[in-house]
Amino acid sequence: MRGHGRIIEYALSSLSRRKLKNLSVAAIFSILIAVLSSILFLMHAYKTETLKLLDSSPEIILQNMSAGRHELIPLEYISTLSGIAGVGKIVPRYWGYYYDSLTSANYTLMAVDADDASDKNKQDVKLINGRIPQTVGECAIGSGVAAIRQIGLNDDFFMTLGTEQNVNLKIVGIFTSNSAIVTNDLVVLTKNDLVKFFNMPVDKATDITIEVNNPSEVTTVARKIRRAYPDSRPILKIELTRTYDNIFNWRGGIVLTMFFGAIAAFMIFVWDKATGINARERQEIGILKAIGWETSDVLQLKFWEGTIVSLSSFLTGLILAYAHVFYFNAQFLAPVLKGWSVLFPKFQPMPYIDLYQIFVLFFLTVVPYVAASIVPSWKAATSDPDAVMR
Amino acid sequence: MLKTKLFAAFIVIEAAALAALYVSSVSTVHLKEPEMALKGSLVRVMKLTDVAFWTEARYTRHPSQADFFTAFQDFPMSVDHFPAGSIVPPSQIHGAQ
Amino acid sequence: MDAVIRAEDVSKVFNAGLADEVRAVAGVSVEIPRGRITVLKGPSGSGKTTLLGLIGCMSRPTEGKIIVEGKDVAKLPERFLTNVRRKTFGFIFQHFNLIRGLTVSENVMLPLYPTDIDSKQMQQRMEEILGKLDLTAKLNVKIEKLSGGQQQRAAIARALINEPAVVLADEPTAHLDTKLSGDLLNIITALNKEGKTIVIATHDPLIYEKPYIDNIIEMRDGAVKEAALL
Repeated sequence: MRGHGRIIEYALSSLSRRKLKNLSVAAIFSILIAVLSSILFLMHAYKTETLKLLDSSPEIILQNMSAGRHELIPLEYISTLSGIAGVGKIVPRYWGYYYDSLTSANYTLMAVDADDASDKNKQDVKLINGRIPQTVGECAIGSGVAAIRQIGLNDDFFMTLGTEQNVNLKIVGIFTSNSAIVTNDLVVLTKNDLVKFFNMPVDKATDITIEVNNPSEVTTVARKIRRAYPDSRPILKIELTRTYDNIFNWRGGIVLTMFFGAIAAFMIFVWDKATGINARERQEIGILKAIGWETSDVLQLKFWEGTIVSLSSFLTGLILAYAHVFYFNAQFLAPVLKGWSVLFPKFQPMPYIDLYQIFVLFFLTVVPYVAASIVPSWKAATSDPDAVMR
Repeated sequence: MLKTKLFAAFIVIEAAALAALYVSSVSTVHLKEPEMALKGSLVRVMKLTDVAFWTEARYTRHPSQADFFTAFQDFPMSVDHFPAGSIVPPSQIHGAQ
Repeated sequence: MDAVIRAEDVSKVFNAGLADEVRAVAGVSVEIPRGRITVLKGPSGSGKTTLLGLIGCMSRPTEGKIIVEGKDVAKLPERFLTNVRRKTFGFIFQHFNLIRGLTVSENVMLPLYPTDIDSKQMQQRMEEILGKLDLTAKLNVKIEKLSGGQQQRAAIARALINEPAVVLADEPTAHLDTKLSGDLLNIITALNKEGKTIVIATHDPLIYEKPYIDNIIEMRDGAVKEAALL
């Protein structure tokens, strides 16, 4: 045990002889770990939060398709749909997009139907300063919209699509910024205002949400709907969550790909270390052998040299990544994630951590580094020590 | 053994910091459960389907709602960005339903 | 005669089977008497360094036996060979082979690092030996800051830290001037007086012409030309 301790001590002395080199290696290693784990942390946090939230989405959303494109759906479908066994509440949704040339931003417009009893529960929404619009001429907006338009409660909000189609609304509510992940670009207005603004036919809605009494029957219900309306497209909640699962894996993959250069450079560096040790290191191993160190002692020394550098870099990198993502809002990654988005939600990601990812990262970085420190020394350590005499 | 002690102290401090961060993350998640529940109910009553990250086009603002033929959408089940990508073949799961 | 080490008909071949095969030592039998100073003498290339390495268990002979304290070590596995070397021998190398960047004390204690010896005891031993060799003042100085003679003494201190019965020195005066060589000989004879067996490989007449050198083995072309116990 004493021997172990002294070998570690010697490994530290040995590393500190080439302070600059080893510190730079540790710094590069830490930064690489910080970047990689930032991406993993952020994507996992976003994905987990998104999937948790979208679990509350409608079971089925029915879109009408016309010539392969999304089309407004006739309200008369509802009576047929309610005849299908297992179908619960059916509520039409009225929504659309509005490009605001003033701010070059896209808003998502959504209607509440104040007159419809089934839509009443929207009035109970929390996470809003003010309230959900109740009468024509009122609206509630997301915090992103409020910020980019620089408007607040009780201000006027004007949208236009030409002389006939325009609305002037009074802001009666602003969604809180901690709900920005789902409300950032929303403009919620009454159904009458929305139908008038978009000039929608009165007998049609954007799509229809369908509740299913028994969740295990969702696919059966969807099949029955398809049979009744072959041109429609039921979107199931499971498809929705799968979509997001893919999107985040994909986006994370793209970001990782962007850092592929950095990873490759590091791999080359490790490879370089693994395939050859320099004459000086070889001589030192010879000296240690000659003065009575066993092969296993030398390999232990190399193990500790590798572990000291890689473990401390790994831990440092993780701490940096955590602070970066969860305390500094992933400042450095934001441009990559946001892309060209004008309205990107500003919110603190929920710190969901996946320990499995950390273990994987550990086995993909620390372990190869330690192995690369030991393997090349193997040959030098197993050769006869009299080499140093010649 | 001074260097060993310093190094051990360094590693212990870092590990402790990480453990503390992990505990704080777990407790934050726990503390914010009510907020998450409120957000969940917001999603439920407003009948929302997508997150408001990318607002530039309907296939990025509502990837789950975009139709099959929308260009460049990330849906369905596509690992590639382009609908006819070259990395992974389209999944059969969606077609099966 | 009481021999610490006996080499029986040992040969050492380098690069066996290759074009540049070298038979550095060929069929040599020597005995190293306990408590005496033995000199392996001969021009460079005569195989004395290789023989010194074989005697000191630094490498294994291609043929023949190396018997240390009555045990044949030539066939021992590496672990045991290292153990024998660590317990029995102290080496003083021609090029000192000190590790640059470390302090004198670290260099001296290095052989004991992987052993089970108590750290305090190790420290004490190091201080004691460096005191004897007049290096106490340089304890925490980086090794490369020392002069040639001081480095030589640090190397001797390192050879003594494991309290070996046998001290082996390879061309110890090669990098020293006449005065320092004289100092070195004084140290070596003092060690011999303490009871240590000394083996020196050298072609420096300054050493082998000294009257108190007991045993001279002259080597030429990998073989013993003349062995005389004076």
